Amino acid sequence: MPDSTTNQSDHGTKTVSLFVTCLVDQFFPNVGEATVQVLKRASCEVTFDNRQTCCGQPAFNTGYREEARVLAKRFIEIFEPAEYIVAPSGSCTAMVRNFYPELFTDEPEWHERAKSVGAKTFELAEFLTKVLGIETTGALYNGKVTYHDACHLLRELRQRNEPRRLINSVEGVELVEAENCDTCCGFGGTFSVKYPEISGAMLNDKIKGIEQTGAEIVVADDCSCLMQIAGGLSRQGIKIRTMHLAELLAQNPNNRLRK
Amino acid sequence: MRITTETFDENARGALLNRPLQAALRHATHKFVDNRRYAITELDDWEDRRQRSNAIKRETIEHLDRYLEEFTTNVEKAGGVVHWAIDSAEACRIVVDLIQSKGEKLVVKSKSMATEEINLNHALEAAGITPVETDLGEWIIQLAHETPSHIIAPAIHKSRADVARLFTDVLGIEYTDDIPKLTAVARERLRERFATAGVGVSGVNFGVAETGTICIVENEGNARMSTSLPRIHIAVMGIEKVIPKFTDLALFLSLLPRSATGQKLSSYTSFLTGTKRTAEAEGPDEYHLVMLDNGRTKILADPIQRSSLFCIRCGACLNACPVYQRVGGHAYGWVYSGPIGALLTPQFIGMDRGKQLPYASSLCGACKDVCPVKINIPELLLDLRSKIGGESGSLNGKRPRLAEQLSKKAFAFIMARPGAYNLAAKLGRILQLTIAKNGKIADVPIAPLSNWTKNRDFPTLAPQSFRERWKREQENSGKE
Amino acid sequence: MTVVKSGQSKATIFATIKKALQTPSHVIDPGRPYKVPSAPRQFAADLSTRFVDEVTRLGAGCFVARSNDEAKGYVVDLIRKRGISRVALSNSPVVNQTGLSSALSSISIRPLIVDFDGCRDENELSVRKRNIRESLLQTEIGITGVTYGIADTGTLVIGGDNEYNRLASLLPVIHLAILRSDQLLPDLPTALEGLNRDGHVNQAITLITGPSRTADIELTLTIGVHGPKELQVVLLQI
Repeated sequence: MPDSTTNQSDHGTKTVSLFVTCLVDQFFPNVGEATVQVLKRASCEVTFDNRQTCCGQPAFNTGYREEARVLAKRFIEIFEPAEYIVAPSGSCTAMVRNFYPELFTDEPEWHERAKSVGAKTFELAEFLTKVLGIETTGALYNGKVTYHDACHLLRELRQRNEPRRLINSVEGVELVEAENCDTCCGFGGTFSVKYPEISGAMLNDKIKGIEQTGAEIVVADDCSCLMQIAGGLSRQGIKIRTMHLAELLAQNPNNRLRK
Repeated sequence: MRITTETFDENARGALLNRPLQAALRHATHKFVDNRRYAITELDDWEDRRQRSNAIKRETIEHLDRYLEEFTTNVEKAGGVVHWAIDSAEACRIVVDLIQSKGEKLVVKSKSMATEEINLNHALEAAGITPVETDLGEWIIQLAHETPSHIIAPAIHKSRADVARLFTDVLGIEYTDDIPKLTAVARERLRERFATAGVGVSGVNFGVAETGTICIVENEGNARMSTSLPRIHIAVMGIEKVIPKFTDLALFLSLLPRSATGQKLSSYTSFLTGTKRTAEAEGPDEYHLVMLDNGRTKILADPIQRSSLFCIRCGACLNACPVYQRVGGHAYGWVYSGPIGALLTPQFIGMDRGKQLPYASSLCGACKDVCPVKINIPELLLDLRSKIGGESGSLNGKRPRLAEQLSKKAFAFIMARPGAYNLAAKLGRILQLTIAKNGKIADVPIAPLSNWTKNRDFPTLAPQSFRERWKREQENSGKE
Repeated sequence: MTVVKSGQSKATIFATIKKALQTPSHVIDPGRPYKVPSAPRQFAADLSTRFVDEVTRLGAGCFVARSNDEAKGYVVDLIRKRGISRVALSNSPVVNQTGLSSALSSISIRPLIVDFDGCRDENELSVRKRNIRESLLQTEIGITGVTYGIADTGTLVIGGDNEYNRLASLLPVIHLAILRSDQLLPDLPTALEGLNRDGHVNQAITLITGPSRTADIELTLTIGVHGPKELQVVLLQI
């Protein structure tokens, strides 16, 4: 049971409807579980609506707006009643918040609904720092870590310092910055398979930058980036691990949550 | 120039394997990025300036006819002759006719992307007129029969050894790769051309509606030479380059040089208004301005793409783009490369020819953060993708249409139905048993995932999905 | 061959523009990048110090003179030390006040005076122009005044009042500009204001910020391309 040294907000416990994202759901369920853990330790009640599937980003990014619209409407209907929606992914959150309204420029009612849902959809680090005002999750992890700025998190949601503050709050962690920490890893959705050589070249530079830090682990807040980076590290036989931010923040909890 | 945009993927692959090119690109783009960063940290209101310039550009573009009218009137009042060209053929015809009617044969040209766009040199040569590029980078690529690979530094893909070899081969000078010496060759050779040419052709960075002034930004002095020594000056200007007031120049001149080369101001900035007022004054006797449409009005008609007309051709987006940094400008196959090129090229040369370009981006957004006029390039790329309807991109020559249409429909079907989603997930776990080894997948035999496994491993589907685990946990703790 | 005036094209283009603008814009704001800490340089309070600072940073020579005589002495010295013999002087007020013309003849240099006034007819003017031009192409140092100096950027503005001659600042190998400290303005907006008279500006205004340069080969900076290889500035501190 989490102890009650937490600073509760004036509105009492927050209920979060988890938007786990299809990638995490099927490939990286640990990330989903870590997210739930972190939210629970932050005194949130977490629910999971198992009707959810995908936010539609792959379709939207490839230019298939009709298909994306169908999935967006589904998402909106499912998540509308929630108090907060939190996702362990910068790109999926950006899809909902920044791009859903674009899908409904010709449908004013859906446009409004999209904006309302977007206003309460947050990426995890964002939610912890901005909404809950939390500066640490009381985690413990001894090791050298480097952080990769996922592009949508950085340039669509404008989160740069927030994830870093949370990482630095993990006891025992040494955060070393890669010189190219904010350069794209080369994923870019279907770009990674449409232009595999360019994607691979960008990935190589990202990996070089990570290696130069001497870190054992590269942390990012987006599984698509981690999939790309891990895929390259694995293929090149490099022994650096990838870890999602949620997983790092859930390490060895000591139940001390401070604001 | 030969357009090779249709084979962007092939061009890009070639560029990635070209080691000297890779070294040159890395060196140049890093330098550009560093210089720019240093230049803007000197200002404490950079973001504010971007905001203001965006507002001015929006105001101008959204009332383009009014500002063009004002601009034209003032140019003509000051003695300039204004010509209008709907397309590149007309623009070339106007310039060729002008020069031929004056009986001139030698033209000195200062750097102008617009003249590259309309392929002016080719038209001049076909008419027996000799155009001589005078910007060092442009002169180098003219000698090499190549096209520019960057908006600001056209020969950035060439090493000093490349230039040295070129000069030896074409000019017959003794081999030297000493950069100041090579530059001195340009000064010496081109000085005589400046002195004897009857016509100078220039581009225009900004046209001021209030006064009818054109502004030309440069570092070498060749634009000053080309616009003050020959007796005729012809300027070619895209119709989107107009700005409202003379004072607006201060704002744009604080943005352009910093974004392009990291300078507070370039070595020479010329404000030219009409023709000389008295016979005693220096300068050309005649001044002609060719206003170029060539597809800009078509872009203007698109309520989203319209903002790409704000571009002031600084090149910052090229330098910031991880794709450009790796493949260089020639891969894009036409005059405009990099992020802005991915927007403009398909719209200028045709969506069917340029359809790869909007997809050749990871949508990282680095470009939008450096654009001095705040063009939202990723959003515009997404918009072009939706217009192209996902029919293109590169799947290595395999039939993209059919494969993509099928996967698009399959994706939509599965994701809209939890039942189908769960079923697909189960199927996937069975299928991957055939290709997964040691918890990862090194080779997926079918496209498009086969492209992934060319140079990366692919993760396996987890034995239990998150939702399965959640369900089990809920059941265990007695909740529903 | 007749010159094509393309009047029809103008009408077509304007009509297309008007029609295009009937559709209102759809704006998607790109947002603001994360704030990068700025480190604005501390500028000296007085214009002269700031100007000298900036000019020097551009790789141009800068000398502060306290009198016309001191200015004259510096220029003559420079010319003598470099063994220069082909000098051009712009016929502008500040240059004339230094008395350079007679000072140079005392060291046996007959400077070219860049002045196009006082010709009796078109022919004479045309001949003078050609002669001056050809001379300037061989000139080693061109000495001009300025309209303004801009302290913020170390820029010289020519083409307005007090200095109309452009070629004398462009063709010679060295360009030496003499300006008085009361010609200094703080920044570019102020200079533009001064140059704009009710929507009218002079035909050819040039902002000169340092010597000519290029980085077209391997992005390596080289000073001195087509414009002057060297810029010298003499600031007459009043």
